[in-house]
Amino acid sequence: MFSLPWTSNPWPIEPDKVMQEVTDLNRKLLYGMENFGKLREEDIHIGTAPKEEVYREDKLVLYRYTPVVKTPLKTPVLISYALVNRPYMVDLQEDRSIVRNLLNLGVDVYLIDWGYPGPTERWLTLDDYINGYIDNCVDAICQKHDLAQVNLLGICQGGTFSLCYAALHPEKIKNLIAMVTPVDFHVKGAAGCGLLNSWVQGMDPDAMVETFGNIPGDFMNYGYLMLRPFALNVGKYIDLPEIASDETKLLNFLRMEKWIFDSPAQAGEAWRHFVRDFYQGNKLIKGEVEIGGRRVDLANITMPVLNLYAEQDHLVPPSSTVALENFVGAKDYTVHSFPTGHIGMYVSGKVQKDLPPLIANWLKARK
Amino acid sequence: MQWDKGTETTMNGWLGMQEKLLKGWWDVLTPPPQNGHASSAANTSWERWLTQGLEPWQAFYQGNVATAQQMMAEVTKQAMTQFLSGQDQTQQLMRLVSEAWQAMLVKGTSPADWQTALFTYTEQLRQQLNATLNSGQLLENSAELWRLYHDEAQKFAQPWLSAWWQMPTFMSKVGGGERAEATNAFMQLFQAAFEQTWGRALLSPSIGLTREFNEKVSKGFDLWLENQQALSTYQLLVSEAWVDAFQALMQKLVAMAQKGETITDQRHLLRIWVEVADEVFIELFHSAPYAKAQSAYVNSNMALRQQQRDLLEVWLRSNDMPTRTDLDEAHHQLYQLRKEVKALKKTLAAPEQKPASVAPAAPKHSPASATAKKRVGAARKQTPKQGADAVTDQSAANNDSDAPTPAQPAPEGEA
Repeated sequence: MFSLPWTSNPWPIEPDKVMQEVTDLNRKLLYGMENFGKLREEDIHIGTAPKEEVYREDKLVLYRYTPVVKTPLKTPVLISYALVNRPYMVDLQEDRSIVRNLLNLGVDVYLIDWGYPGPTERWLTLDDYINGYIDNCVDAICQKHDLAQVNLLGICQGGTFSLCYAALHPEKIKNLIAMVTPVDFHVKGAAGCGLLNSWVQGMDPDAMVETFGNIPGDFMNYGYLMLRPFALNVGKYIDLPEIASDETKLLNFLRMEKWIFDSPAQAGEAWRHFVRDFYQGNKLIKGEVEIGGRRVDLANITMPVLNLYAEQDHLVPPSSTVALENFVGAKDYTVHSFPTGHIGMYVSGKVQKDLPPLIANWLKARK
Repeated sequence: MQWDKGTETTMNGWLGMQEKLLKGWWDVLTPPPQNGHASSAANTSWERWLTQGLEPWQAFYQGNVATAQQMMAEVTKQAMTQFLSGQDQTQQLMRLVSEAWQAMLVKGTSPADWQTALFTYTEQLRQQLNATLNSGQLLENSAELWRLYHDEAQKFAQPWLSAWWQMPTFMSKVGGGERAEATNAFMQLFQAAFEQTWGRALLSPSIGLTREFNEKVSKGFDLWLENQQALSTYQLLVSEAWVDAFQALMQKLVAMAQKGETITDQRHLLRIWVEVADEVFIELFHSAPYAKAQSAYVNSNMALRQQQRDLLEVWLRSNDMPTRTDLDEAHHQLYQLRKEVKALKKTLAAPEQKPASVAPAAPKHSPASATAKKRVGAARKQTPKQGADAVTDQSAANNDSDAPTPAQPAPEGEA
């Protein structure tokens, strides 16, 4: 006979246990609030690895991180990050920093900081970013080291830019590393994956650029949060009382919060082109993207390629990234995945243990 | 935020309220007698929980916690706002869950009954949500629509009106003296004409001096209506998902109860809700109707915003103030000039450098690339500053002082 759930203690909540939980929670919350009260914005230290500015153009700044080994690898690595977030994610905190780990492994690291686009940057095109800024940064590094080539590490949208750059200027790239990089923009992801691709198909980028000028960072962020609306807007704050009661954990949490919501606007013209040709037209893999009057042919990427992706990436579906293999001309092609999400690639302790050595060893084998 | 006595009292009060709420919640959820019917005692405790637990907590939350947040730094404030908002949602969730559970207690004598009760409850929810979105009714009443549009449009059109009516400087610019008086009379006529345009007559083509402005207002109405329709379609889809998610939550809770699994605390409940709701919403987000509704809303909103800007610019121009269109034009010219200066600097710098030993690079992107193309390999060896923003470094632009000179030979080619 069916037993009604509520006749047999449906929610066997034990009052004493509940009250204990609540008391503990509240105590933690009180400590947490006190910790919150002590903190100031300037206490949230990010991007602390020592670095120096080596090049500046408009709002872009090229940094070189101070090498920590006596003889770093001869060919430096230039990191090109996405436009939508600040690049300090690669050096978010001292004990979880791709940059610091690479430096310790003898890699000479450069990083492009795109800055925050203003009204004048609304007119920047993909040509300006790829054939202008990236190319000038590569030149600056080559000139400083008396080299003809650099290693290029592109992350997320910065990875797509790097693919374009490497295809247009293959002679300047010794080795190419693509990390969580969208390549095929029309793949269908698993639950929660590939939504950006789907959502953007019906959007009118022309109307958005005409209206907004630069696409606001908050607008973009709203879209990202809606990819997993409850987990990202509610779920991650459930454990805040525990986190807040420990100052170190709280600071780590706040670093991440700061990074997530510190979102520069997207330069209007470049965004329009990126949405039209990459997201909507999926022209990169068709060889139909044109930048600065030249066709981007991924087959021109004949230098060694290391393609890294996150197995649970909800922003860039893994299938979008691994598609690269079908289109590049490189004979030396390596692909490697990590059991984490998009953000976990930078902050997961386990990934930080494995990812930087993988990159460093791959580069050392191809120096 | 200063952690003082007052803050502590506030926080303690809030937390105490929360404890009371949770304790009351447990009372409400205490199983009814074995006959499976809710007792009057259960109903009483339910009422008590609502009036003595939930409602005071919510009032307290709105009054005090928001004040406490004002004292925090921006980032910490954001994080705490999220957390407290989550707490608020938790309470709302508990309320809904409890109400549904109560409904199921009343009916629940067999599996079919509780499922029927849950269905009935969620249907009520659905109807309540849909009632607030009653787009069909809204769209039938054009007079009401014009009133709503007027309210919206007033936010930006009001300055236009008041400025035209009250700005003596504008009048003196137009003519001065008797002419100003005449103009003023004319303006009053204009005012009357304008007021008449705030009506359904605007749907017809306009004539006369105000024709262009009227056309903008009329077009704005169409776009506003389109946006409202798109919003309604979007909200209907989302409200369905809310109800579906809640139904899924209750089914999950019943399934857990049948397995003898326990809800340990409110955060446990919240975690289950997050998991269940994300599943339901993500399924919706992947659907073609959702993508279509979302795009329609965003696109119509962009069109409406542009049209609002057009209206606003009428007022700005009439007051000799710069418009967004003017600023866009200026920024565009600045951007183009900056590119030209960069290209010129590279062209000027290139002949003074040694040729590089590497193969020539691909053409640069700048307008001057055609002339600079042959020297790209050499340009690659320029100092970093040469590629920098000349607008911010006029002396460098004029003197090209950063370019390598014979006394500062560029380094040789690659190692």
